[in-house]
Amino acid sequence: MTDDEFDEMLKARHNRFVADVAAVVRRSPEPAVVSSPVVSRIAVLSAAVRSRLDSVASRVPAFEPMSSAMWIGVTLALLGVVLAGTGQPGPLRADLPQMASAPTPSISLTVDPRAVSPGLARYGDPELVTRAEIMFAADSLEMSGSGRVTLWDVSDSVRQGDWVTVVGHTARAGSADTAVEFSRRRADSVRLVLINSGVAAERISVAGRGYQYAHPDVDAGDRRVEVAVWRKT
Amino acid sequence: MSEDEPPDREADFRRFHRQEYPLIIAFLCHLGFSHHIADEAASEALEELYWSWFDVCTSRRMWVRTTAKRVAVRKAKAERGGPLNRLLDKGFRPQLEHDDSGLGEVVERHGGLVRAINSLPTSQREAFALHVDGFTAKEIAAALAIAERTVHHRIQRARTTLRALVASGEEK
Repeated sequence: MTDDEFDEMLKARHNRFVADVAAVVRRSPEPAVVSSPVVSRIAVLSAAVRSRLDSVASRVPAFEPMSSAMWIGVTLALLGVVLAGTGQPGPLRADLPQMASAPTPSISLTVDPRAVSPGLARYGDPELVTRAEIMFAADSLEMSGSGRVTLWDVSDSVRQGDWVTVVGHTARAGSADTAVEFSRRRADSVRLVLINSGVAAERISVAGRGYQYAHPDVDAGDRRVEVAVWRKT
Repeated sequence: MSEDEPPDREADFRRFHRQEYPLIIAFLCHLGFSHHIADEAASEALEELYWSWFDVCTSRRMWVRTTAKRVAVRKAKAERGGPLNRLLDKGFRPQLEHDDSGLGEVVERHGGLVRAINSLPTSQREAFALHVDGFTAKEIAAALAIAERTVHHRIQRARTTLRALVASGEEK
């Protein structure tokens, strides 16, 4: 038997193995990742709590009437904890409809894109194709889950020859220089996602503006990166 | 980026999931992980891939296997030192509420192939598992950060060992 024949024989056995595994796993429900991780986490925690309370109740018969009420109470408390922990929009199913929709058009850009991108100045009066705001957690370079999904939509709307301006902002905290540096790093993280999504690096202009355009009262809305796609008219 | 319709990520991922999930489980079993770790690690790796679908610039098939292997190693380590294992060492046998849907039985049925590949030295095992999975030597070399020639060498050594096993009838 030659090496090739031996490999073929092994691969045929491997394929039979994979086919049998597939037959087993395809009996399982749909892939878990398309369901909300929060929901499944709650289900797991509830099941764990219920199983624990059931075992306690089985050992202490007098405890039985209380177990249902306690189970409901603990499950509700866990639900509260889990939902409170996801104050920032995470990668949940609730975000998925945004995949199909275009980024929100109601955002007004605070920075003149031509000041950010010298290449754009050659376009004269370019057409604004898409604009979006990507929100960040406080003191963090980690963008929100919905922001990441919005970036995919933005990258889909970019065509050859378009310019993308990415301008980072921070909340009003610390020195102005540090804020500019940090906002620039936020913008860089957005730029990286755009490049990974297929946008040409040389078509993306990045700037950090610190808290120059921060809202005087509300910090949360200032932890953002503005992304805009421009096209020559 | 094309000017055509944007790709349907959900549909693409579902197709990828359907095709790759059993292959990743088989790959991890060939590496020597238990079927339940392989199953969990494959699920987790695919979930990670879902959220990084557009961030993955290299081959998604290789990326998801590398991730699954990392997850499986972490789980195996946790399992070895975990409290359940310590209880099991002391003779505790929990009553399982549900079975593993027959995956263990499938792995046992194909145990000859799995055990034969498991018996190879680690370096040869990984290269050969990827080879059986349909990856080229060039792809394997890039994933394992070794020379393509080394991949050929490891696969050849693994093949020799497996042929001897088959000839002696140890691998059934």
